[in-house]
Amino acid sequence: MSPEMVGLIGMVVMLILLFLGVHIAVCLTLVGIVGYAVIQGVDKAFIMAGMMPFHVISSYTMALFPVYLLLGELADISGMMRDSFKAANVWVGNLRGGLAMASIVGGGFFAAVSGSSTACSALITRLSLPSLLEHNYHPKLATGALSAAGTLSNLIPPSIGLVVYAVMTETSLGKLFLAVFIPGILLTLMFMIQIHIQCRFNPKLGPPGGATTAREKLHAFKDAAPTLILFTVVMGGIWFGVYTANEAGAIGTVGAFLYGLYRRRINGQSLSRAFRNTLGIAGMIFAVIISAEIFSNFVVISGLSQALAQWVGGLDMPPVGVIICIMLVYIFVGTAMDTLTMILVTLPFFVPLLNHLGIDLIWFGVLVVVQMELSQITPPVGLNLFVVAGMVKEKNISMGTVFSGAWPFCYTMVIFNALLIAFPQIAMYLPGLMK
Amino acid sequence: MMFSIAKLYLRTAIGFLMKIINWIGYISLTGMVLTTAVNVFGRYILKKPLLGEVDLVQLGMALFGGVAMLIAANKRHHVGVDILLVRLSRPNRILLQRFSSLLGFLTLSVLTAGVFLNGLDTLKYGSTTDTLRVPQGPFEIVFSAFIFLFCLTSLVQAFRPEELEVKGEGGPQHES
Repeated sequence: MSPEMVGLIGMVVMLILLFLGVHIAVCLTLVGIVGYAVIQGVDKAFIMAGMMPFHVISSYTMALFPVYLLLGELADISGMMRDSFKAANVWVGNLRGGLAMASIVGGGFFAAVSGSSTACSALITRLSLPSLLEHNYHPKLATGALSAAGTLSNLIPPSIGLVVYAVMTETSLGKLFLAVFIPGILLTLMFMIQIHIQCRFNPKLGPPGGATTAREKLHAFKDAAPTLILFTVVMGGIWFGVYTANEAGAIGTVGAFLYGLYRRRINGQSLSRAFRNTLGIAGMIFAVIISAEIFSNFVVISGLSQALAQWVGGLDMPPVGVIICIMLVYIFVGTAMDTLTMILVTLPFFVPLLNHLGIDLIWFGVLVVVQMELSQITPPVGLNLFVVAGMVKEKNISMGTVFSGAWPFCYTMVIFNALLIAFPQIAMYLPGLMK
Repeated sequence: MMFSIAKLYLRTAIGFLMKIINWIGYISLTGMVLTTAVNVFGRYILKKPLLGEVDLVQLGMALFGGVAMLIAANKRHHVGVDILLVRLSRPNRILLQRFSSLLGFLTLSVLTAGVFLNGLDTLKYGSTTDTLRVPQGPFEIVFSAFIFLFCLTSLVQAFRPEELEVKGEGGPQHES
């Protein structure tokens, strides 16, 4: 049997196991080891399986995960998010649909110090749902905005999705962080414009909140300042080449911890919870990345990705056409698969293809992260939708309402992704300026 | 009677072990963050960077990574596709969850053996880190011990699937 055929069978078996509910780490490792053994022999497969876990885990790059996860946890318990959300409320809450916009801006602030999409949606829902319902916001708009707010987490650095991508493709994380910065701001604005348009056509969706004075607006900067300062310290250091992404994360983590201590918001219990959460999530990511690396080795020796690259090359399709096809595949697969799974299963195939076509992996990384976030709010398996639906259940808001509320935000994200494809400079401008 | 006493002792021992493992995770994570931050501080303020910062972080990751994976497994922080699972009847879900855990146990057994033997080789050939020349072998063997515990967790979960613990609807395997 040819290695390509083994690769193809391995892929099919992996998908079957995946849809049978077998954990992705197990699927990828099992298929990776068995497939490698079929092509190269049992001894070589065993050596590869023995070497990979320690090799992957003891790398300096992998330390990015726990550091940035802990940064997000500490920023949360130190109350930065709450304060930033308050500020966003004062700034835009008085506009028509303003409270929904404030949720989006609050999500943007959360994203500036954390990289978890679902955590962001959960926190923003907890903070803003009561005031949205109190001001008679339609549940569709309210839940849609709350779900969409979480998508900014991976689009405003630091972002866990980008760290996964950087580890898997061996691209510069610093450049990726800079590449998503302008798109993150742009998407925030696009969401706000979309809410404004929705409320203009249907004023019942989001009535304006209470008026605020210019003085109050100015004063609200004080609440948002810690988040903005922390973000500037982390991203500024990376941009100016003062420190690496790992170092920036560590500095940010120490900063968030000191701020929490200063505000007396960190105690033994909350700190222990932050560490526990970091351990749990990092462990899950580590297991999946180790397995993806093992699977990736199998894909490489099977020659499947090279065959795919040659086949696409033979189609004479322009690179943008290939990108559009990949994005369509992601949209389709994203409706049935968890985002992390989707990225880790597909990257070993797509990256050699993209290299073959000379497509910039930084730009593609931005597109992938947008796609990842889009699938977080695409019914029927968008994880953010489940998080929000779970939290609004007690207010008698149905899953269907949450789903229909999310659609306008999905369309906005599709338009946004099309813009990124049409104008790569939106993402590539800042990395080009990096020192 | 004897069985329930033994079970109680075992539970206490596991609880104690998990506490120690958690602390190893907390300390290694704090160590990594502080080492990195001190290196930046030393480089720019004291004009004296910390020697072997990368080595220390890499060794810290060997401990932290092992602990984190074990804790994630223990908390059932698995990533999976449950699109089919949620449509099945409860007994079938239990069956599939058992199958998944058993498959995990088998796969992790191979990994444990592989990492352990590789660790012995590393020990034998005296591989060290680049700057501080710290032997890597012991860390790799400790790491294999954590994978072994991860493997045992999968075996336990095969006998006690999530469905029996949750007693609810759905197969909530997503964690992000």
